Amino acid sequence: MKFILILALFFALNLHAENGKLDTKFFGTLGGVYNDNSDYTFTKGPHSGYGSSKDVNAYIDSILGLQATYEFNDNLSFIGQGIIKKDDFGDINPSIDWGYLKYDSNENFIFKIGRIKLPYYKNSNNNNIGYSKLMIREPIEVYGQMPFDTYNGVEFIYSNIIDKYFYTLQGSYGQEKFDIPIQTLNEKFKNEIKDLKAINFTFGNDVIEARASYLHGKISTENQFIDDNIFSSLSQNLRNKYEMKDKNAEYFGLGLFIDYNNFIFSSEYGKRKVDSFYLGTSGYYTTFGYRFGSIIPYFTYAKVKMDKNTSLNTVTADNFMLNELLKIQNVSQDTKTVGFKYHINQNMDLKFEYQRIRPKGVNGGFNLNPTGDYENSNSNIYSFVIDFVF
Amino acid sequence: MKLINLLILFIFTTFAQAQVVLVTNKKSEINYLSKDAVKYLYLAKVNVINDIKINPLLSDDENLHKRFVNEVIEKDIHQYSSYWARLVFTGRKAIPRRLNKEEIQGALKDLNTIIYIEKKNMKNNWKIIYEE
Repeated sequence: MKFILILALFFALNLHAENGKLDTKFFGTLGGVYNDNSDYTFTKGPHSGYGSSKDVNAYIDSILGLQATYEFNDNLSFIGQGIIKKDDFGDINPSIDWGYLKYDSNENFIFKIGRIKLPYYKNSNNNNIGYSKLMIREPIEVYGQMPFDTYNGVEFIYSNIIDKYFYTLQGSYGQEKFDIPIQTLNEKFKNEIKDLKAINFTFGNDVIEARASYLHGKISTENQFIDDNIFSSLSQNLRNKYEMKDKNAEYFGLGLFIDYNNFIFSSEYGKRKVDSFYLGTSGYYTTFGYRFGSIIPYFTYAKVKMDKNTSLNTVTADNFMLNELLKIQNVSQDTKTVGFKYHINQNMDLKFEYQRIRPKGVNGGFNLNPTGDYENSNSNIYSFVIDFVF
Repeated sequence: MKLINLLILFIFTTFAQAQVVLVTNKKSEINYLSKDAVKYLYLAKVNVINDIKINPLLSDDENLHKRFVNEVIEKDIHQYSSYWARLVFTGRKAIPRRLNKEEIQGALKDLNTIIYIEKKNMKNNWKIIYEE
C-alpha cells in the first residue's frame, strides 16, 4: 500500500514537474535455483523460510524494482527505491526499500536524511541490482552476518582526491526496527536497534580500492514465547549474558578490490559481535575473475565460522532450552562457487553459477535449513539469472 | 616517393582526426586536466578539481563513447555500464544524458562543462583540456 502511495505521489509530481525534474528507472532479476540435496532447503538468507530442495525455485533471486528521483534544484533531490520480491516471511508484497532527501553541496559533500542503506559491505547499497554485480548473490558468509541493512536517520559522504588517489568518508547515525521470522516456531523476533553509528572509509585509484567499515548500536529483541520458555527459568547470570536487551551490537568489515588488465580480484572480511544468544561470527570471501570481452568467468571461496562456543558448558533442566537455542545459532559453513557473467548488452546480462556448500553447524548452515533430521551432507546448487536495468 | 609522402600524410591526418580529446568552453577556468582527474570525474569519484566544480557530459555517439571509455577511462564498456548502474541505483549519481552534436554545442556554452569529442570536430570557442 505504501508502495502504491509513493508511486502515486511520484506520478502526481511528474504531472506538475518541469521537463527532466523527475527521473524513473527500472531494474530487476529473474532466475531459478536448483538444490540437489533433499536433506536441506537452500534459502536466500539465514532467516528465509522458503527455497529449493530437489526442485527449481524461482523466488530466491527474482526481484523487480523501481527507482524514482525528483530534483527540486541543483542541490536538493528526493530519491526512493521500491521493490517487489518474496520476503523472509514468504509474502510477496511491494515495499519501499529506501528513500531519502539528499543535499549535494556540489563540492564533494553529500548529506542525506530518511531511510538509508547501511554501508557494511562494498555492494550493500546495490545488493538488489544484479546487473551492477559480478555474482548472482554476494557470499552469504559475509553479507548475511547482520540481520538488517537499512535504518532511519542521517548520513554524510565526503569524497576528494589526494595526488593520484581518491577517498570517501561516510558516516551514519540513526535507528531501526525490524522483525525476524523464527521459522520452526512460526513466531517472530521483534527487534530494535538504537543509537546506531556507522563509519566507512574507502581509498584507492581506478585499479585498486580498499575499504574499512565499523558499526555500533544498542540492540534489543522481544518474543513472548522465547522469553517465557527459555529466559524466564534462567539464573540472573545466564540471563544477563544471553538475553538481547539493550546489548552492544558491532560489525567490523574490511575489503580489497583489484581490477587490472581484465583480472578481477575481490575480497571482504566481516566480523559480527553481539553480546547475547545471537553469537558472534567471522567470515570472508575471495573472488578471482577474468574479463574475456563480454564474458567474465569467476571463482569464489567463502567461509564463515562462529567466534565462540555454541553450547553451554553445563546443561541442566533449567538451561536446556537455552542450550538448544545456542546450538541452532551455529551457521558455520563454506562455499565454493564457479560461474560466469555474460553481458548481453549495456542493459542486460545473464549469469550462471554452480556452488558446493559444506554446512558445519548442528542445524545446517547459513542458507541451508534441514528438511528432516540433521545430516551433515554437502549441497550442490545450480543458479541462473537474467538481470536488467532500464 | 610522392605517393609514399601522401600515404604518410593520409595516415597521419586520419590518426589526428580520429583522436579523442576532452574540451570545454574557451572562457572556462579549467585549462588542463590530468588523466587521473578525467578518470575520477567520469567515474563520479569527485566533481570538484582545484576548487572548480566540473560538469562532465556524455556523447550519444556510441563509437566515440566506447573509444573514450576504452582509451581514456581505460575500462571495458560493459565494466563502465555496470559501474554506472551501481552509482545510479544506489542514489549516488544520476546518469548524465547522452548529447548529440547540436546539444553539445549548446551545453558547452556553460563554463566548466566538459565533454569528449573527436579532435576534427573542434570549434573555435572551445579549448582542449586533455589529450592523449
